[in-house]
Amino acid sequence: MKLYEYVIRRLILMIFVLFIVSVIVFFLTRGPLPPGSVLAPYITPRLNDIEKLQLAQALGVATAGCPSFSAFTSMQPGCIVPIYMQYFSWLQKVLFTGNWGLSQIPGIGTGLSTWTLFTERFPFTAELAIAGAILTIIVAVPLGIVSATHNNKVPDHASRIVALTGYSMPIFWLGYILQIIFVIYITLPRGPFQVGLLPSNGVLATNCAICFSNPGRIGIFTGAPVIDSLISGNVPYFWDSFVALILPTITLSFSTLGALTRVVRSSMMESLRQDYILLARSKGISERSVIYRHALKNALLPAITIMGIIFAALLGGVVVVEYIFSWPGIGAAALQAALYLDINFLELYTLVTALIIVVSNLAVDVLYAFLDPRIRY
Amino acid sequence: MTQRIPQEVETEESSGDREVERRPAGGVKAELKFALYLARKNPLVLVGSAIAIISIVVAVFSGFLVPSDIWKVSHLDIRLCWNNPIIDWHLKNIYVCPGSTVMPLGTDSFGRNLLQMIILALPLDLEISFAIVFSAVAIGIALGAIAAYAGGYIDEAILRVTDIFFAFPGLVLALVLLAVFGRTLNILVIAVLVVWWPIYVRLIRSQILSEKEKPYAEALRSVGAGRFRILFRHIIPNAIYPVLVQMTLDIGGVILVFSTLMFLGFSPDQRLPELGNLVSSGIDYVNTAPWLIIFPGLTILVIALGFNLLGDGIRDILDPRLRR
Amino acid sequence: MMDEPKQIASTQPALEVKNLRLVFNTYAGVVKALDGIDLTVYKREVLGLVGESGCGKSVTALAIAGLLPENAKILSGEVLLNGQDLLKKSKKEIRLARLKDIALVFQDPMTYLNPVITIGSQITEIFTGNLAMYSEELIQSRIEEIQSRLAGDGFSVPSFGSQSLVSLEQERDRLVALKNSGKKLSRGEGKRLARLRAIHYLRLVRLPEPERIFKMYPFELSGGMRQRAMIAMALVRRPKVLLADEITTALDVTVQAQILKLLKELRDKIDASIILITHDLGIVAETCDRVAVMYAGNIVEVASVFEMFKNPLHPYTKGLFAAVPKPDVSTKELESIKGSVPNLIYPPTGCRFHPRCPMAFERCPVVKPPLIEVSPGHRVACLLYGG
Repeated sequence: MKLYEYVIRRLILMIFVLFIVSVIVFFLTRGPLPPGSVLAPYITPRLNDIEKLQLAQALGVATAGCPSFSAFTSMQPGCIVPIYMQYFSWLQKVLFTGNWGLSQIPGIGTGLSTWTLFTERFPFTAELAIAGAILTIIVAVPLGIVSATHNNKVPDHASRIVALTGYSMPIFWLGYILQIIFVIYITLPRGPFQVGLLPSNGVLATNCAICFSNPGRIGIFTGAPVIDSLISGNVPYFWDSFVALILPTITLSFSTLGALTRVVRSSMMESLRQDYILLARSKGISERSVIYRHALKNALLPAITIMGIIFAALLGGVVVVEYIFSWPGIGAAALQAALYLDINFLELYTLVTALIIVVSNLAVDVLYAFLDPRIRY
Repeated sequence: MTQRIPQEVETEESSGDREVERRPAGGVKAELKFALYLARKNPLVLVGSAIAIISIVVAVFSGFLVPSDIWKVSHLDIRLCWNNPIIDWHLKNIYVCPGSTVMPLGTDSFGRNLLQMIILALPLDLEISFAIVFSAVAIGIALGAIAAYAGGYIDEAILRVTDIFFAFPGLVLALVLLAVFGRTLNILVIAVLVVWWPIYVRLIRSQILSEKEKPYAEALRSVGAGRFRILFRHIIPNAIYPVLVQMTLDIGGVILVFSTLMFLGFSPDQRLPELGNLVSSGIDYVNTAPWLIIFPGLTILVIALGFNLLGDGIRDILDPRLRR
Repeated sequence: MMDEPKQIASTQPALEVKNLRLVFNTYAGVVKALDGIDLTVYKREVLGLVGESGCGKSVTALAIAGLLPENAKILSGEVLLNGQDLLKKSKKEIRLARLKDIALVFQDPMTYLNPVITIGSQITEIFTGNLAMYSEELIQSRIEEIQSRLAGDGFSVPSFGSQSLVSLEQERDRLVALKNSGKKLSRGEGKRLARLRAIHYLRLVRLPEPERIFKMYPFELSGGMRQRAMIAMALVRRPKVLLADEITTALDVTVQAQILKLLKELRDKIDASIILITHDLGIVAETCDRVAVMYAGNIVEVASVFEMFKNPLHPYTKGLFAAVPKPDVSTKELESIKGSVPNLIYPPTGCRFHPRCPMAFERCPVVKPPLIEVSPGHRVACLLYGG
């Protein structure tokens, strides 16, 4: 089987998986609840029947050819849309018209369509997740290598403790501890106030000691402040948004960092135990060469497969981190959506994250096949 | 376990006679000796086991330490106060508790003794965690064995189903379930279980598959031993080690997920003594009562750490390929 | 088949091991692996090192090369190469010694070759990593290669590829000038010369289409080819001592024969001493000049191959030879040496073989027999013959 055949096969599988995911989410959210129950917070007595019906349709609830809202809620015959038909009309609506309905999230989503809300917030989450991934890799790979080569000595023990603490630590707790330390306890004077060293909320640092008081404006290119400010050439803005990224990123990647370090360490150790390392040493080449050329090349292969899982974990952790740090991303919005039953947003969010996870898994597998000469399709 | 066929023959001839540490086969005594040797080299494992055992003991005996309904009572006059002289928070606006009883970890927003709340939270968290893990393993054994033995379409189907569940980012599925079905403890358990079971199905399936092909299984089949007998008396005991390791690690992991869900606001009752819930009710008071966040969270960390260390230790001890 | 006694190629020792004692610290106790090994390898000879599994043959090889694992401790002894004791050298010096003078070939070419690096790369890295050290040699050997081609020695060698005679002459002149100027090789030139040298040696071990093999990965080759590649990897740096540890054990019999034939051909072409570690007496008979027998961490007998086969002295050696089934003698049972290999954590006192020896007497558990010369070139460690 050639590589591109494999990729195509995986893509088809991916579409199938996404389809099933959407079905599951749809049935879960619309099935068990009585029809129109999602609308409860928005139905006021002032609305007459027709208006309620229109509101229901605007919010994306399938009402078929119901004559009136009361007929709809009491599920009169002729007014019930079988759920599978609901699904197909929904599918049609979202795929071909891109209409995901109106957002029902109070506060952040009022008046916005679900799609707009999602796309506005997505770059922030992407910025956070990618920063988390980068930090994870930059720290974990060298740390893992050092742990493996200095097995059972100080660096190994230290990295082991960090790794263990990392994946035993509740993310939300770490976030608050960091906030307590860097915002409440470590303060610097700024004007007449004591201000925390680092900011605890928002993407643009405010109220922090090392931030600029007036970073100015930037153009919107990607939606992610760190990148946009770089493109706009606005250094104070870049600095502020970078500083705002520090605490959330550490919080997010602390646990994945630990996990990746362990994987790199154990696969390096496994690699170093192999017979070919003995042969390499016997050839008299430098130890550095033995470690980085012979051992690492083999060790990175299993570590790469873990990257897919790590990315999924980062996407999951983003929900908590955004909540704690008031980060305007889709994770925080999804949380609100779950609390306030905004089905449309939940569906969109689930599908997009599932898509990201499946694609990144595929990318990881392709990368692995690319790098390992033994796998040739 | 009676009649367990050892899978590693002692003289594993690595190329040449290079001396390597080999796991001793045959004999509980030799295994124990090796285990103690490893434990000596690795003191963290002992720490982990101690933590795990202590937490379980406290959980079991919490009924004696703290009256079990005490969390329902509010004492608004002593809410959010601190009077433990050991720690000085160096914050302004710390409210010193009136009265003489020392609150070792301060009081929460309902005026309850935080230490007592934490002690009450332990059995809740640990029970739920154990319940989830054991249920996941049970499902895993059932589906994993079916997949491994049935092969073909059934196997493929089960694998695809696990793939689909893996495609859901962790918390999302749980969030959706909680949103739709309500926030009772039962739904919480089911929500986490739904996220957790695919891992065990895959793990157990692959373990069974590799055990099935080993010579001893073939030998058993050739003398006519029935499939169930082979599965339960031979394969599962041999295959169980990685599963045991995973289970121990997961007890810590499940507590983390579960408390996170409670923290995010899906707890059925604000006052429920559960570690994540306790933290969530403290976030409004970061500036004035940081202990509300610090100590319950620290407890979660310590418990998860304990079980993780224990799991790691078990993995090292049981790893048949261990050298030095 | 056994030939007439071969002349020892030289009487000068290439490598001498004196009284090497070595232990391993394991969880179960202290393993006294080597108990005073005395071994001498002369230049250009093939010395066989024979013994059962676990007797310490491989450990000896690793000790010579300085590749022992961390829990090994050398208690005493010397390993003399060119008159210098390798055991006293620093890590860096040992590494350079391995680079230049000692080469090892191992048993299983599948696990000993790095699966993700090409064969050629695994050979050239020896040079490219130490370009300064090898510059002169690379240039010189290439010049010699070109000279012999130009002299038309009938060796139509495609390592010159489609290079015409004229361009070869130009290359030679350029290289001679480079050598004389004393300047260092550039990276690119170094890589090129390293590659040519690697291909030359791949050809020497009779691998077909060496340029193609250069670019291939280990899994693409057969077992015999991989073993040849490993041998090429060892020879390419023209070591003084080649340690071959059970190199044919993992191969099937026909391939085994090919490799042995290759070794015999190479003997004459290369200038190295070979220590051939094996448990197979047949291989010893085929390929070795002298043979040393090891038991439980001791050398118990050393002699020329002819002498050893004709007149084994040590009871263990006698037992070994008796145990080999002879196709022309019909016997009902295979003879074996009674007992089993001793536990080296608690080895037998005195002579380590005494519990299994049919000729042991009261002094044997008391005194450790020294290795003494009983007749010219024939040494035994047994109280029956003195000591």
